[in-house]
Order: sequence, then C-alpha cells, then structure tokens
Amino acid sequence: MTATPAPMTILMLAIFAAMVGVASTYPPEARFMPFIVGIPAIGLCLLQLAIDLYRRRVPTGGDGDDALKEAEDRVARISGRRLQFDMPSENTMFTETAHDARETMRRETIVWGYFLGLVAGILLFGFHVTVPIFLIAFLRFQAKASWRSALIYGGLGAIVMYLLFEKVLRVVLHGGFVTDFALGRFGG
Amino acid sequence: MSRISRLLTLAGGLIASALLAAPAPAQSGADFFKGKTITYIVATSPGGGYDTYGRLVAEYMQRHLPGSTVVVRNMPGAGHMIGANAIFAAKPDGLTIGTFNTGLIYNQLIGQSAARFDLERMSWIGKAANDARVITIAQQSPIMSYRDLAAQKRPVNFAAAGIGSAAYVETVMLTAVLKLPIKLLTGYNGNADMLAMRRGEVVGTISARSTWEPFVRNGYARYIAQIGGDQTDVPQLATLVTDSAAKALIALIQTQCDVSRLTAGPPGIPADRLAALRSAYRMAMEDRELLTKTEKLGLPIEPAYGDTVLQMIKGALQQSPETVALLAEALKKK
Amino acid sequence: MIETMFGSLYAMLMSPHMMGLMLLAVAIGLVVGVTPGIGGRLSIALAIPFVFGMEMIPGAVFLLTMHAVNGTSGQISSIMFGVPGDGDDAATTIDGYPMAKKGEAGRALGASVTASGIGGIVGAVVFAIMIPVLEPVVMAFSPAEFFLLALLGITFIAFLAGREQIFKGLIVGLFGMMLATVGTDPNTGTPRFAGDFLFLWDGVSLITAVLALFAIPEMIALAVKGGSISSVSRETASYSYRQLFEGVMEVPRHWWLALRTSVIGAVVGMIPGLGSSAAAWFCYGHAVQTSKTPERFGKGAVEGVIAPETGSNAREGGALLPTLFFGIPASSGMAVLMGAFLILGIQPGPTMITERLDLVWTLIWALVVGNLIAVTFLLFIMRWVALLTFVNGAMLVPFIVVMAVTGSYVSEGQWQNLVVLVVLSVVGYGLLRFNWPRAPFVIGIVLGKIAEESLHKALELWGLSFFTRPLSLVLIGLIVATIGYAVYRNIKPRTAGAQRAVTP
Repeated sequence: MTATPAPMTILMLAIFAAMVGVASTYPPEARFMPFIVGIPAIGLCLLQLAIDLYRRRVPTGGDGDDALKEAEDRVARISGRRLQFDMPSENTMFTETAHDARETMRRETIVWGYFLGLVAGILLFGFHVTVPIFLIAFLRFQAKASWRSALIYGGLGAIVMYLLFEKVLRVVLHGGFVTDFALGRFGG
Repeated sequence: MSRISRLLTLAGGLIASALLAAPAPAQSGADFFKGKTITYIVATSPGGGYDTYGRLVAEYMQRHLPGSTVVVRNMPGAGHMIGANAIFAAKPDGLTIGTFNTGLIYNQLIGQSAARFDLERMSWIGKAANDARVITIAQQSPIMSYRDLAAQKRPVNFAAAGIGSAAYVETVMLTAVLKLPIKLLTGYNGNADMLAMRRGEVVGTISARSTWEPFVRNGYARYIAQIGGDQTDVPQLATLVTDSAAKALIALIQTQCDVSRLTAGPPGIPADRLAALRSAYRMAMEDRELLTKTEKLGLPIEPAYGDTVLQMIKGALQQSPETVALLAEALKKK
Repeated sequence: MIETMFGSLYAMLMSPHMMGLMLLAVAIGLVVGVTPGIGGRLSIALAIPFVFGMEMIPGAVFLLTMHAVNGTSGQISSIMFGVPGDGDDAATTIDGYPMAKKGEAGRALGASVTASGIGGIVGAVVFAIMIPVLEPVVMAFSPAEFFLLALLGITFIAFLAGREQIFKGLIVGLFGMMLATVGTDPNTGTPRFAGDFLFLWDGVSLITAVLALFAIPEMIALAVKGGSISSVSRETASYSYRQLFEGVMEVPRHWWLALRTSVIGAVVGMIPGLGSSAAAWFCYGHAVQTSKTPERFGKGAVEGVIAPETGSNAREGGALLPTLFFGIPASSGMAVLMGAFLILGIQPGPTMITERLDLVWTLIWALVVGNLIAVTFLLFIMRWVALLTFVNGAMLVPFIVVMAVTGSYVSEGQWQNLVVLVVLSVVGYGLLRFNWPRAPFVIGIVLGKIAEESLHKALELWGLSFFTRPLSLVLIGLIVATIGYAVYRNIKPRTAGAQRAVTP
C-alpha cells in the first residue's frame, strides 16, 4: 500500500489552498502569517506532487536488505539474542502483505466506523452512556473476546471512568445532547 | 376500648391528619436544591483569580444550601465569552450559575455578535469584590505622578493584553479620551507585561490592582492613579481630570471595578429559587471560615447582592452614544 | 550557605511528615499524569483546597513535587501506546513508540524514566547555580530573541525530515504552523479561520492536535493490522527486567547528550514566554542535529527518548526561578503553583534570596528527591507495564481511544474539540498511512504561535531594526549555521544505511 503517496499530497495541497484562500479576506496584518506559511507550502506540495507522479513506476526499497540480514546475524552471534532491524518506518503494518489491499480497506472502514461512532455517541448521548457500549462492543466484535470478558473489562473501564471523573476529580464530562434533553424533559 | 387501642387510634389519627394536612412536597426555595447538583461555571481555566473566587463561592454556597452539591465547571475561551454564553443559555432552573469577567459589558455595549448574552436580563446573585484599576509605572522610570505622565513630550510604551480583551479596551479608551502620550503595545498576556516592564521595554500599564499588588509590593513599580477601590494610598483618577467625557468614561470603568467577581445565572430563574441562591450567597460571603481563608490569600471580599448588583449593571449599560462610539472604535479590528 | 543547603535537605529527610507528604504527592502526580489532558494546572487547582490548612513548607513541597512528577508519567502512555500526555510527550512518542513496536518497550521505558530523573536533578542543580546570575540572563531575552529562537527551532524541521522526505517534512511542519494561525490574530484581533466559532478563537487545542496526529491514527492502525503493539513476539524480545536495566544503562552511555539536553531544558524553562513544550522539542532537535546517524531518529533511536525527557523535566527546575524570584511565572502551570504559594503565605520576589533561602533550598531538594522517588517507583512497576505491549492490540485499543478522546475533551471542556479531533485524525491517519513524517507538525504548531506573537511584539518595540540587537545577531548566526549544516548533511553522499542501523 505504499504505492500511492499522491493522495496525501493532493489533500495537503487542497488544505493549504483553502486556508490561503480564506486568509486573503483578512486585513493585511492578519493574513501575513498564513501567507508566509501557506504560499511556500503550496509550492512545496506542487513540487512533491511532481516527484510523486514521476516516481510512480519506480519501486523503492530493498537495497539494504542483505546488509541488514548480515547485521542481524552479527548481533545475534555476539549477544545471543535475535533482534530485528528491518522496521524502518512507522507504517510497517502496511508493507506487510498479511492482508491484501481490499481487506485492509475493509478493516479500516470498520475501525473508523467504531471511532466515529464513539465520538458521535459521546456528542449525542454523553460519555457515561457511550463509553461502556463502545468498550463492550469493540472488545466483543473486534477483539473477539468472549461476552463475559467484554462485559467485565468494558464495564469495569466504564465504572472506573465514572468514579474518577464524577466523584474524585469532580470534572464534568459532556452529558450528550439527546441525553440532556431527555433528562430535562422527563427527569424534572 | 383498651388503653393501647386508644393510643393506637390516637396515633393513627394524628398520623393520618398529618399526612392529609401537610402541603404537597414543597419544591420551592431552598428545599428545591436538596439532593440536586448545581453547576458553577467559571469562564477561565483552572487556577487564576476567577477560578479561585469561583471555587470558594461554590464551596461555601454548598454549605449554606443544605443537601445540595455545587460542582465547578471550567469553560475557558474567547475572553470569557464562551463561559458567559453558556451561563446565559443554560436552563433557568436554578441549577446553573457562574462567573465571568464584568468587562463583557463592553462587548455587549457595542453589540458584538459573538456575545450571545444580555447582562441586564441575567439573574443576578451577587458580586464578591472591588477590583480597582491602576495606572502602574515601572520603578526605573522618572514618571512619578499622573501629571508627569500627561506632561511627557514623547510617547511612552505601555503594555496591554491581547486585542479585544477588557484590559485592552480600557487602556485604549482612556488613552484616547485623556489624550495621554502613550504608545500601546499589544499582545502581552498573562504576566508577560510584568516581565516587559522589568526588561525596560515598557514603562507602564493600565490594569487590575489585584494582579499587580505583589509586583508593586516587591518594589518593581509604583501606582500613579486609580479608578475605584477603597484604598486611599493612590489618588483617584476622577479627581485628576476635568473633562466631562473623561469623567463619564471613568465612571463606566468604575462599574467594572465595583462589580468584580460576579455570580449570575440565566434569565428567568424562578423567584423563590433565586431568593434561595441569593441567600446562600450572602451567607457564604459572611461565613467566618471563608473570610479567614480569603484574608490569608489576600483576596478582598466586598460583597453586594442581588438587585443592588443588577442596578449597577443596568446603570453601566446606559451609555451615551459618544462612549459607545469610542468603545466600537477600541474594539474594532484594525 | 552550605549550611542552609544541607540543613534543609536533612530537615526534609528526617521528617516523616514531609516524606509522607512527598510520597503522597508522587503517587497522586503519577496517577493523574497518566491520562492525557488532565494533570498540570487542573491537578494543582484541585489540590489547592487541601493545601489551605497546611503549613508553608510542607504545603509547598507537596505541591511542587506533585507538579514536577505530573509530567513524568505521561511518558508511559507515550511510549507504550503512542498516546502523548501533552505537547512535549509527543517528542518522546516519536522514537519511543517505534521502540515499543520493535519489542523494546522495556528498554525505552527504562531509558526514559531514568532520563527524567537525571533531567530533574540536573535541572535543580542548574537552578541552584544560576541563582546569582538569574536576573541578567532572563532579562536578556526579549521578544526579538524569542522570535529568533522559535525560528531556530523551526529549522530543526529540516533535520527531522531527513533526506528522501525533506519536502514532505517541510510541508507537514508548515501545516503545523498554519494550524497555529487559527484563532485571534495578535496583530489585529481578527479571528482567523474561526468566524463565530468561539471555541477556535484561542486556537486549536495543542493536546487535541497532538492526540489527533499521533494517538488516534496509531490506535486505528493497530486495530487494522491486528496483533499486538510489539511486532516482535514476547519470546524473541528479551526478558523484561533485563531490558529495563539495559534501558536504564543507556542514559549513562549517552551521558554527554543527557547533560547537554538537561541544561538546555533548564535554561529554556527559565525563560518565561517560550511555552512549555518548546524545551522537549529543542532537546529532541538538538539530539538529531548532533547525532552522527540522524536517520535512525523516528524509527526507535533511544537518544530520541532520552533527549526530550531530560529536557522537559529539567525545565521544571528552571521554571521555578523566575516564578520564585520575580513572582513572574514561567509557564501556566507555574502560574497556578504561584497562586498556591501565595495561599501558603510564600511571597515570591527578591526577598526570597535574602530572607527565605532555606525555603528555596528545600524546594530544590524537593525536586531532586521527588524525582528520585518517582523514578524508583516507576522502575519497579515498569516490568509489568511493559508487558502490555505484547497483549493483543485489539484488547487495548478501545481503552486507549477512550482515554485519548476523554483527554481531548477535558483539556478544553468544549464538545466542539471532539469534532476538531476527528477532522485532524483523518489528516493524521493519512500521514501515517502514506508514510509521511509527523514530528515536524508539533514543532510547527508549538513554535509557529510563539514566532508570530514574538515577531509582532518585536516589530512593535523596535521596528525592523530588532535584528541588530547583539543577542539577536548571535541567534541569526546559529540559524544560518544550522540550515547550512542541514544542507551539507543532506548533500553529503551517504554510506550503507544498514551499517548505521546497527549502531546503538
């Protein structure tokens, strides 16, 4: 999945263009900084885009592999332990071919769904209602935990959170629009 | 009938009449708050003057409203406007009250769209202190009095907080109306102005006395004039000027000083509950323990309650068109 | 003088009451500091009611210890889960989390905890040494210097981006700076990119941005990938205590770097106005810059953990100086602390040196001892904590996500921040997915704001001639040298990358 960096470049370009555009409606002193930052950024994005398009067919990587293996062996011999040295970047997970592209996309959609659901739930129903549901659901369906584990861990987490924020810290957490409305109407 | 059964009948009769004759559960006044949670909104982040006063008020109001819990909620941002908007828009059941900078009067006077509150209509509970405004001059400067300042040939640098804040507005307006030789440097938030004064970048500021007291007491600066407040060691600015427009402006600013550390709720709180809140507030302000604490802290307590505060606010909101124009000018984006 | 110095230490250690309070403070500080968003000002503000009844010295020691230790526990979640507790923890995450992914969580934690301890101690020492020369040093830094310092920090972005990705790094850094412009403009008061969205008037919340760029994407990626945080299985990675010890030993191994970054952190802390996250990032940037093998950074270089941790802890000691001696707090955390000191009856100001030197020394020792207690305690429990990286990720992810979302909300108290969190998470995930660097973003957003505000003030004060002040010229020289060095490094032909990867 490392093959197409271009989408990100285009996104960044769009963001900068939009922000610079908005900034141009501001008085001169206010738009100074956004311009000084945004205009060079747009230039850099265009440069990067050019590089991306040019480099599209040329696959990178693999030039250090043998040397890396050799290094690993050497260290293993000396220290008696085998450590791996071939994780150059944070997105290793995407270079592994454990899942193919379509599968990754599917999984991404699901996980993002959970995240967005969590935030939407919090906004509408508040922390104390949404968090336990989210925890239990995720643990059960994503982590494939048993119902028992999911309920115990999830429930415990939600209870700890409730106690910590409501009772100990006395910090008010968002109540949720729907929940507040309902409580207002029917709770008196 | 045996004695016991007679007693029982009597008892039964008494209980029955008590139950039947008792009024429906009184949800009025202080009783309403039993078992309820009041949210006290502080329009700043934790720490700092408003938060400290707010937490004290919250704690002691809780003591004097038996059965209630008062929880402080910080809602900082946009120069206290986020908190004030929240208080104004809250459900007027008496369960939400809070504090914010009285300086929001300025924002309301010029009709700023982001200010979604109307101070006149809010339910006023009280205010806790006076906070004088002072003109403070760096210790190293040769300016010794207000007259010296007014007589300066070349403009001197004054530090002001971020554009749009109450302190900035007051500084700009006073400079304009009093025609002071001041070059205003903006953007000094927090204690940056004190540091600037130490470095010699600025000569003075116009801001709250409570913030500057420790600094002045350490000998780094001096006061040359004051608006409001009961201290007598510094001349009142009103006595030093003669221009009527200036005096009107000073009077407006004085309201700021006199209604400091306010507590208010959204418009329309039922009268009995508001009365209960006001009474609890009064008892809190007179509570011996609170007064000991605030004295230790060096926080003055000069309270005023309910309608008195409302009248002061109302008065402040009646300003001549000239003053409003001046305000608009000061708050305008440059 | 020596008498006062050790006298106060002795008095503190010998008093069960004091030691008890310190232990309590360490415990509370650590626990509260673990969750992102909480901690810092909130914890001190909450502690204030309890402080009312205390006597001056125990009360001050309690609060200071709690405050100092607050920052220490944030590194746990930064390294283990890639969830920074605040802006400077993000620096630790950049290299700490990749180490966890390689199965080296124990080593990273050992190094970072020890680094914190050392940093705190050195910071206290610097504090003590600087007492006589404090005033001229702090006074020398005006907005002109702040602007140039911020600019210098920004040039570090060039280093962090590395060779192949220099454009991407710069773009991300500029994105950070762009986001820093959101909010009320210091020059004219115009709310930029905010309109009537009051919650944006003060800018994008730093903690929300950092969580959105680092924590959320990493957690989503982990859930997608499956498996545990550590790609390396538990058997392959070495036994926890051994790894932990190795980590601890890394600090003496890099003692020169640790010392330098501690001093940098302490000095940055002393200068009010640079903001709290700047210290960690300056130190991180310094480590990258002075390393012979900068490509390792971002992929699990232990220096990338040591440098920011020493820096941010040393900063606490440094920040005490202007707070105590001028009554001018060096950061917002210090401002709250100062308020608490006033409650206790401590009057910050020049009289502290003459009249209450014993108190000053007690506070310094409190920092040192508090750090030691915290470090010892953490090292004990690290063994179990590190094991979490081998647990099935999907079990951990929901809890961490909840923690991050809650932290984002609590830090500002506005639900709209959650929307900002989601929007920025999309960008953050994109950056992670397509292998763009993210570290420059934090530098951009932190320093961009300082740069603009300082520039505004410097121009107000001196107009364009502010460049010609002596200290400014020195800083300009530094900036030019840094850029020059960066260019030189990137142009120089590089030797086999594999060889470098082996160097510890």
